[in-house]
Amino acid sequence: MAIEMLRMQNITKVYPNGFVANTDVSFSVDQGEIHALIGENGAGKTTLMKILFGMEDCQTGKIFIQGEESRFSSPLDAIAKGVGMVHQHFMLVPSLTVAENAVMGIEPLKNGIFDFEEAVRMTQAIADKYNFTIDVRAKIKDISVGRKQIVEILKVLIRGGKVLIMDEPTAVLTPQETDELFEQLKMLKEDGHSIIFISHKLEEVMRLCDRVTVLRRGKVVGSGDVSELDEVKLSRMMVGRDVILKIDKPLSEPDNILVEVKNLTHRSREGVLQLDNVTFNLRAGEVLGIAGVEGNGQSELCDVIAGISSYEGGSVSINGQTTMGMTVNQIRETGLAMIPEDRMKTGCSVDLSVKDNIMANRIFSKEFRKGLFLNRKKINTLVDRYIEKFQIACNNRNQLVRYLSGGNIQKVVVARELTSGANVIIANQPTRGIDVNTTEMIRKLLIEMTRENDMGVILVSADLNEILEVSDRLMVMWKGQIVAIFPQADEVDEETLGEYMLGLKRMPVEELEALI
Amino acid sequence: MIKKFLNNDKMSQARRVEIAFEVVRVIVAILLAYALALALLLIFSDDPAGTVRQFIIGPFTNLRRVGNIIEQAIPLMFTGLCMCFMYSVNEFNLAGEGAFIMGGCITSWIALSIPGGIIPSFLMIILLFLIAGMVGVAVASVPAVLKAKLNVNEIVSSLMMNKIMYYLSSFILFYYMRDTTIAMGGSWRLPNELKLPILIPRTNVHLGLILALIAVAVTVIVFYRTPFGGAIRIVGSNRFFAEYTGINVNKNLIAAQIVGGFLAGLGGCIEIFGMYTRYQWIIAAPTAGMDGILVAVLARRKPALIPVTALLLAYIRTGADVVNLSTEVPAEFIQVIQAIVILLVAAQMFLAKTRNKIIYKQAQDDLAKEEQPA
Amino acid sequence: MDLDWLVEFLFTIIRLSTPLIFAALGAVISRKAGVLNLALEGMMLVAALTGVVFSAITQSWIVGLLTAVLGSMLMATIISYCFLVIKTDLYLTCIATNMASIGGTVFVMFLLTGSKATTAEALRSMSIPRIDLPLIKDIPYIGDVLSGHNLLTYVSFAMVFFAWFLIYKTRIGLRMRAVGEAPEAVESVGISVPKIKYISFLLSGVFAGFGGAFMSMSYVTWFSRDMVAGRGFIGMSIMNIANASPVGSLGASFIFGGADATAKYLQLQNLPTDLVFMVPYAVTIIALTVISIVRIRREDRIVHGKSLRRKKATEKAAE
Repeated sequence: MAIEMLRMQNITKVYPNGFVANTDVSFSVDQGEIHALIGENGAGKTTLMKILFGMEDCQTGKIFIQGEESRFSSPLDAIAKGVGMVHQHFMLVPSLTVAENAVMGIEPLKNGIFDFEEAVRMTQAIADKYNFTIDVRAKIKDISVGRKQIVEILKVLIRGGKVLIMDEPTAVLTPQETDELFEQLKMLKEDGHSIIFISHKLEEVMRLCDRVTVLRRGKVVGSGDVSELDEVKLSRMMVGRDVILKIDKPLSEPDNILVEVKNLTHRSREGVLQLDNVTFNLRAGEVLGIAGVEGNGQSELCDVIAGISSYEGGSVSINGQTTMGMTVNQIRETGLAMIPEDRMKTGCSVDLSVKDNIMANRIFSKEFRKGLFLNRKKINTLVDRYIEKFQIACNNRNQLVRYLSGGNIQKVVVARELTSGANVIIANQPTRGIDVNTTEMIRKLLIEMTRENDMGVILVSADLNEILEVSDRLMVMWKGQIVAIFPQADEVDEETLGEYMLGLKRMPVEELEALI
Repeated sequence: MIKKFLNNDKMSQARRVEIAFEVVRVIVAILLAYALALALLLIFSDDPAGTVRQFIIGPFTNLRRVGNIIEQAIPLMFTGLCMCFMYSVNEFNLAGEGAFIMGGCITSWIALSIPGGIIPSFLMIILLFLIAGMVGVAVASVPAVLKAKLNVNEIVSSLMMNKIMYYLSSFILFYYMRDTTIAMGGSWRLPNELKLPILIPRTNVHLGLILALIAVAVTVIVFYRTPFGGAIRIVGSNRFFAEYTGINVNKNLIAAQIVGGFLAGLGGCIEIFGMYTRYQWIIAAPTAGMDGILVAVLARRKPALIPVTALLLAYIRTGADVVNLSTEVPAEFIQVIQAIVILLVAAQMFLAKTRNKIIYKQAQDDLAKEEQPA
Repeated sequence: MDLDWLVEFLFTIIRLSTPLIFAALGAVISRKAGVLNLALEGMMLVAALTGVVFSAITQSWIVGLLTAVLGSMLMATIISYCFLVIKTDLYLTCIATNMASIGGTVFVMFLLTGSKATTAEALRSMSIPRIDLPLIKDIPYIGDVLSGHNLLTYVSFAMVFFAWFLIYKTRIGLRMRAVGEAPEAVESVGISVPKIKYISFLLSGVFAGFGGAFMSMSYVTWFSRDMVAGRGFIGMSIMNIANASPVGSLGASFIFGGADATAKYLQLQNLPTDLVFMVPYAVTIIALTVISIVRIRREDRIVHGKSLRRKKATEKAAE
């Protein structure tokens, strides 16, 4: 019989805005076990873990650590009890060193002064113990994503953490880095650590974990040993119905060139080369997918094409017009629309109504004006039509966007961008963090747009599944360069893609040129 | 009415609670600060009961004082609207103060420099309004442009600007329009024919009241019925979003602040030609510019509420003036009270615990309803 | 060249720079923890009044100085409570407290002295002593410039080093820098971010307190209405120009002290006083503008893109 390490009992959490994140959730982890916590985005996994880690309080429920009831009012309490968390977004200070980050909060002192050398020694000792290879004197901003995750794990271990909460650790990793991480997690498990593995990737759960608990809409809908379950059963539990992961799409018939990007070069404000001689074309009637580990220039490429950032070399032309020196608005008028990466920051304004958000990109258009003023009647009819067409679940058009769910907010963004009259759509992470139904709807819409309206779509996504399913053609970016182009996205397998994403392989220039 | 509001099906439960709480919060904040003001008066006054009575009822005891409330509210409406525009794009440009002073100063100087009769007085006063507005534009645009183009902190630059404007107005007064025959520092008498007509006899309530209300109406229309208003609301609520949707952020940022400056400058001119016979703002510099912050914050940045909050502040100030005249308590204590009101209204967590409890209860009720089969 | 005049001028620069150094350090220490302290002005004003009042009551400059610092720290606590606990907007909080400080100090002054302008007649307050530096004071010219300043002037120099040491060598400094850069990272290891911000704000209050005490307890020994006259904001600007470096702030403070000294000199030359009074404020705006332009130019040079894009755009226009 395994020893129980941790148990959460009857947890209920309601956020101040009235959102019920967890209802009566119970869950436990044994010593030396990797326990998966799975569910769709918004199912309440992250909230549950924030409660366990003392970052959020809950209205009802108890937490037991090794049989002893514990109340965590801050992460400090949780850390003291041996619970540590590796966050989805890294919690590291970029300009400080690995060692300084690792000892943050338990800094060694000498005569009252911070002892950097001791910090280095402490961190190195832990890294050696678990066989992590890392330069502890390097600054965080200079190391890779995979290394950063190791620093996060070191942070937990150096505090004597016994329970590791890993919040979607593989989301930012390549398949190869994921393998490496899994090896290390298994080693920690052998050593008697307990790991809570949060994910929505079933394949990884089957590969790594011992037990699994499934959450749906804030409630536990099932749990059991992984060996007794399979992916189909789990996905049915997660979604509540059978998911069709395959999308039927009619064959793409690429037409004339809509976007022509030639030798595009761009540097960040700090002077780092982010786009390095990028050349490609987008044709009418196709979805062009861009794969790559996050931070390899995909987002910069979108921003540069849309005119948010400038470029220092090369050229971009949209519908035959070169965009050099144009404002964002002028570029949009050439026929471009964009679903931005961060819907809360750049995709909408949460403090404005659904109507204002949908109208944002056409507020100065003559079409919606009556003399000096806005033509309210026309605007209202139009907005109501879009709310219906895109199935935006809101009380009315004047509801503030902040009160909508993530999926519905994204529908507002999509409604605005797809109806702007543009024939080129840039979709940067269009379905990140939203429910399955909306995801399906957006993917279908993107494909539909290209087939029926002869539009072109550039799709950037970290979700390999999405990129392989939706794209017609597929490019891979690595360190700001295009390293591979596949004319048939559905013929690519994940392993090959991973090798290109990691920069292990790249197509010769001549081959690339032929595929542009 | 509140009950009906809370049962409105078109809004989500949480949203309803939030709006109701917002209203309650502002009222509680004002009452708390008011209680504090009374406590201060009680402590520091020789005749506490009399002082408190003066403070609360004093402003209503005669027509002249009621007139005082309205007169004081006029400049507050203009500077309140000015701050509404600054706030609408989320900038803390405080140059309204400098704009207000300069608007009054420059127009006084021009009125004194141009011999009477050359320009018909009706035309002249409209011309002065425009000039005052443009002066306001000039003053407010410096911090606005420096922030938009060079990312210079607008609070620092606008406050420095206000200091410069204060000394500049003093320089203009003493070197170009000083009446040397009077002992106190003041300009020559302003031409009588340019004085704004009085609306209510036996008070000083002047035409400016109507102009202020027109300004409020125009602002409301601009905010909610024009493309420009829509654009500045988008820029103000999320400028990254504005940039991504192709709205020219800098242009709208600067434009909104320029309109704000125009209103403050205009307010300064209307104040001078409505209330004063000479330009003499060096002796008792008006604080209307900074008071505009409170007016706008209390109105929760909604221009339609500006007349209400301006009158409220004018009432409290008139009360303080009455107390100041008849007792030993200086009117400066009102500035402390004002600051406290601003803080309480701006405090997101003030009463938040109570609000969260109610929302939690309602969410539970909703859950219970959901669980029951329909 | 009249060297005596130069010596006096340089001496004046150092004297006038002192409150600016304190203000700038106050701005630096809070900036490191990611907080813009726009309430330095109000803090200094409150400190200046408390210093005068308590030194007059106790007839001890030491008590006066301590209470001045405590007064300023009290202000820091109130502001921190507002924006860290009841979550008011920081900018608005600072504007409101500055407003309250101007009115509040006059209110208190009036209650104590019956005057709304100055405490000079009613309160006999103490001054912080001048210090003659041994050895240095005997060096010709240099001694006259460097020696004989108020004690707080030398304290301000020491404080520059103290601030540097605190920020870069101690645990609290490490945590402050981390909070300023990635607060969520600090939060995640259980360190209270509000606590670190509060500590940095409190330290900011200590510096502002010294600055305020210098205003009312060194070369003059009275408090007058709005006597800080924007120095808190100039301190903010100095921090900005020096890129939040303590040592850089020291240098930048002398530039502004120089502007102030020039204004004082011009005042003696029969120029209109109102125009002369504008000098420090105008210099602040100009300096902020120039430094921003320089920074943007430097960035442009790194990112050739911008200038190239502009160049190409003009070329295209020329065609």
